[in-house]
Order: sequence, then C-alpha cells, then structure tokens
Amino acid sequence: MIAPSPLVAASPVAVPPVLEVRDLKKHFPLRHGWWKRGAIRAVDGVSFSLQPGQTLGLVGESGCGKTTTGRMIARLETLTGGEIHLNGQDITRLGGAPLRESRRHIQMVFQDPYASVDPKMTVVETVAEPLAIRGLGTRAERRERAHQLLGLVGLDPTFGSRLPHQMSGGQLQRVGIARALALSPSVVVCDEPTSALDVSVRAQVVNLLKEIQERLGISYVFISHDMATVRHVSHQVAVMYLGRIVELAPAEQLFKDPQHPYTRALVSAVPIPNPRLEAQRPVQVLEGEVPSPADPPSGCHFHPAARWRRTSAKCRNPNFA
Amino acid sequence: MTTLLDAQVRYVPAPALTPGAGATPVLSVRDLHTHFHASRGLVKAVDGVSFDLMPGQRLAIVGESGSGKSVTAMSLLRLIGYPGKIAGGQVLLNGRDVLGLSTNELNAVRGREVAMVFQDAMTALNPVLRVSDQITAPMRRHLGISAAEARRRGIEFLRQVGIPAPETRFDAYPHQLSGGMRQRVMIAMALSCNPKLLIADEPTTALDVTIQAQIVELLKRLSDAHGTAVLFITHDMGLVARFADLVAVMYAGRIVEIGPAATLFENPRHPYTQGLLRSIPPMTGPRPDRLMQIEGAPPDLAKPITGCAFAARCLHTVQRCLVDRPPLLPLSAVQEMHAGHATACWVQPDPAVQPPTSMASSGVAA
Repeated sequence: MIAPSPLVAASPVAVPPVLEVRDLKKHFPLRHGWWKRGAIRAVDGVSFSLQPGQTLGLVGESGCGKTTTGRMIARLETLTGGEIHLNGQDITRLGGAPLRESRRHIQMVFQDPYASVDPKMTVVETVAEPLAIRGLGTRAERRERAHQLLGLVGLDPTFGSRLPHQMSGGQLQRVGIARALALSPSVVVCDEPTSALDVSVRAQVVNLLKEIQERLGISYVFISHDMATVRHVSHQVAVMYLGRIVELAPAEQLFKDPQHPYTRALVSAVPIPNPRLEAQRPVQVLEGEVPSPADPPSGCHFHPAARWRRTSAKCRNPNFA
Repeated sequence: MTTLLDAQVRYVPAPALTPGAGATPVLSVRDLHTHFHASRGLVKAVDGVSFDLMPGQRLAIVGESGSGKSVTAMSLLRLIGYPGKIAGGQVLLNGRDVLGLSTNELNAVRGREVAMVFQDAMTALNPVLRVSDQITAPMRRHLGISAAEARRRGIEFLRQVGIPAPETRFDAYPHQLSGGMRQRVMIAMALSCNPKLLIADEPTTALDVTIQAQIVELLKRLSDAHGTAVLFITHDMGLVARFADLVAVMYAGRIVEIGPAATLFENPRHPYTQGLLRSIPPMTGPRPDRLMQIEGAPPDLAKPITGCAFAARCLHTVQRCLVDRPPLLPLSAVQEMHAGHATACWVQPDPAVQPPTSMASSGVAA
C-alpha cells in the first residue's frame, strides 16, 4: 500500500501536521442492470499531510476527485475507506457531538458565493450563524464577533445589514470567508473559491486569503483547476488524476520541473499571457479525454495509449513516492 | 443621437494593421450601441463600439462580465431580444449593413456567412435531435445539397474537428457526448457552410484546461486552413495570447484598448489592461508576495457615466478623467511601433513603471 504522508518525511520541520489523510477512498456505487454492479472510484487512495500555516493545492481536471477529497476532509461526504487525522485526533469515525466539535476546526469556503449563503439572511446573520448553532456567546456578542470578522475580510460594517442579492460576487465571497473563520478553525478547505469571480476581483480574494493565513496561521486545502492561482497560493501542490495523486511537490518546483507526464501536459496546456512566449512554447496537446472513473485503466491511470502513448513496465503499477 | 464625443470615439484602424493592405474587412463595426430597457433604467451595455476584422484575422474581445463583450457579439447577428435593442451604429458584413437586413436576408446570413459557437454546448444544441440532424440542417438550407451529400460532408466535418469514429457518433444525441465532443460538434456545425466569419463566445470556458488546449488548437488550425476570420470572446488573457492576432479590451460597454496582440501585451497603455495583466499570477519565475489587484467593482451601467468609467478604480486618475470621457485614439508615439494600437485614456501610464499603490492592502484590518 501507499506509504502514508510523504510530506512528513520531506518536511524538515518537526511540527506535527495539522491535518493528515491516509489512503482516502470514495467509491460511489453504480448499477448497470440487474446483476452487474460496479463503482465510480471518485477518490481512490489519497494520502497527504498539511503543516500548520501552510497551503496544500489540489489541482486536476473535472472528475479527478479533488472536490470529493475536500468534502470528505470536511466530513461532508462519507468515506469508503481511509483515515483523517485532525490535530492528531482521528476524526474518521466520529459522529454526533464529537463530530460537531471537530467541525469547529475544519471549515469550508465554496465556489459559488450566491449558492452558498441563505438569500434571506443578512450578512451579519450569515457570519454569526456558526456561532449561533453552537450557542456561543449572547446575541450581542455574536453580532460583535461578526462585525469583527467582516473587518478582517475587508468589508465595511455597513454591509452587515445587506442581503446577498445586494452584493457583488467578490463581496459575497468575502462573507463566505468570514463565515468560515467564525469558529477560528485550524484548517479551511477552499473549493474553487475564485472560479466564479471575475478576473479583476480574483486577485482581491487571493490576496485576502493569503493575508488571513499570515495573520491567523491557519492552513488551507486549496482546490482549483486554475493552475496559476494554485501555484501562487500553495506551499505544496498535489496533482490528481482519476482519483489518485499522481504528483506532489513544493509549488514552484512542481511547475518548474514537473516529473509526471500528466503534470507536464497539464502545465503546458495552461496558456501564458504573453504572445511572444506562447509562440515559442510547445503546447503538448493531450489526445482524447479522461477515462471514466467507473472503469479506470489498470496500473497507472494515465498510461492507456488514448492519452499518453509511452507505456513502460513501470506504468503498470506505479508506487507513489 | 450622435454627440461630438461619440464621433470622437469612432476608431478606424490604421491600414498598416491589415496583413493584405488594401483588402476589405470582412466585418466592420461602426459606433455600435445596444441598450437594455431594464426596470432600473436604461442600461447601455454596448456604448459605441467600432472595430474592423480582416479575412483570416483572429480578434479576441476580453473583459469581465457586464463589460458588453457578449452583447457586442450577439448584436452582430441581431440576436438581441426584448428588453434589449440595438440603438444605433452599423455592422458591415462584406460592406452590407446587417442591421438593415430583412428577416429573410438575415436568415440567409446566419449560419452561412457568419456562424456562431456558444459557451455552453449542452444548451446550444437541441437535446432531442440527433447530431446528424443538427449538423446537416444548415448545409441543406444554405447550400441546397442532397441529404446524402450533407451526411457525407457532416461526417467529414466531424472527422476534421477530431471526433474519433465519426460514423458512429454522427447519429448520437448530444447527451451521449462529452463536453469537449459537444463543443467540437458545435464547431463542426458552425464551419459546415464555410462562413467568412466565426463568432466564438467563450467556447472553452466550461472545459478543462487540456480539452481547452485541444479546442483552441483546432480553431486556430481551421481558421488558418479556411481563411475564416474569428471573433473570440473570452476573459482569459492567456488564451488571448495563444490565439489572437488582435485584441480589444472592453470595459463598461466600450473598447478601452485595441491593438495587435504582441503590441498590446508588450506595451499595454490603458490602466485597466495593465491591471488585468498584472493581476494574473505568473506560471514561471518567483512568486510575488501579493497580486496586483484592481480595487472596487465595475460601474452600474444603468447610471450615467461622467468622465472615464474606470476612473474610480484607477491608480492614475487625474482631474480630467473625472469630467471628460476619454475617446479611443491611436497612440501618438512612434507610429511604426504602434500601428493599429489605440487606447481610451488621458494618462496612458508607462507600463514599465509599477504604480506606487499596487501594494495597497486588500482591506484586512490592521
């Protein structure tokens, strides 16, 4: 089996990881008719660990399992297999009150800011809701904390009484971030937090997330298909393909010297905003499409000739190391 | 309602821009205005847009949502429905004004001379018709060929756009194809009557980056092979660099900067273009501590705009920007270098100089 947490071995820091994930699996059962049964292996053995104050970027194409991984870490999705350790505690099988308690430490920011807030709640109510659910503080104290959080994410207190439809996407995403921070979590899973935003607003949110990390020392799992943004915010980057991590490396190194053929193709597919460089750069166009996770190829998921025409004995059973 | 300012905004590209000098543009847009009568007032979504597109040329229109880039594209084929209205201007297609055509004449243009590829292939294709029906329909109508001939050509087009085993896919329904394949089907449909102009409205935004690279290469190859002019709408500056000969940057319903891609990326003269380019995290080299960000949000187009629409977010605003709306004017500097490069800015800051406040806080309280 995969050796757990390659990151710990690689990291010179002796600080225990805030989040450790071992051999995470999620299979969605599938029925083809009466007797034939199978499963979509959305996530199929993912391991990594995350240091305090650091960001792990998860990149990959749609269907590679990056969002499912994020949702499992936040325990919004049940696990088929594997373990999740948060601050040294195994939260994999927690339920009821202990699970609710553990959720204080791990929060989520979603892609679509309009879809992830209640349209009938004011901004202050939205941000204070996690506190209210846990019965923390009095109403007045919660309001005050909410205003504090709005200040932290760079929103004027006057926004407090607004409703979601009265705000822009960028402003509302700040509300989503404030809500995620309300319980002072140690890990925030950001699932495509900038993908629904306009280019000029994207940089605002990315800068905000980085500043918050510097100030509060929280860790992010940053899920995105935007390679440039992931490179910018992450300390480590994991590239996922068909439910598995195919490469994990420090951000700058991964983009400078990608080792896995899929990573190389992915990096070369991202256009650079410079026509002169673009004209010189060879674009490695992958042929075909990602195979179905219901029927992944044997051995290395990337090997079948459909997408990558160089196969070797090694590709039959790669060991992630 | 042509005012002096509108007349000034008229931008006529320098002849040096056109590859075959003397050639007539396939598309010539002059002072286009498209308005929407919304409950909150008159929204001037497109507010005086002019540009030329030569045969075989690829123009990218970039801008954020609400900048008017899609409405511009839709206006070219008069695809603007209630409560929108094309309020003025000219759309000259090979010298003929599309805005003055009768419905019959317009139907003869749509799909024949000008074809369109939309962002979301799933909603653009008819879900209850087979690919074969949808791809042969324009050929049957415009080219008057037999069903058998249309079928033969249709399969050939599917092969050209890189669909494996096109004979078996030809009779599939759209839902049986993947997103990338559907986009290819739309491109095949669009090119089936060999149009002079292809309008592609964010054709790759919904696709993964590896599929996006495939589609962009395909569009490039096909436009080179057939000499089709392409109007490409996107918000991705990287794609622009990969694909376009010419770039037009739109903001608040107007083109604020236009020019050959190489020149515009090298020497962006509008603060908005500069901001867009600086806000993109680099893929190589050292990572900046912070990204340059454009503060604030675009203006409400239902409210009248005095002065430059970008002034409130701009780091270079001077007094004149607040009162006087800048027209799109050719760069006055060394003409050779800036042929066809025009910008709508009174200041035109030097792109080599980093603005002093680019490190402004994103608003985190101290």
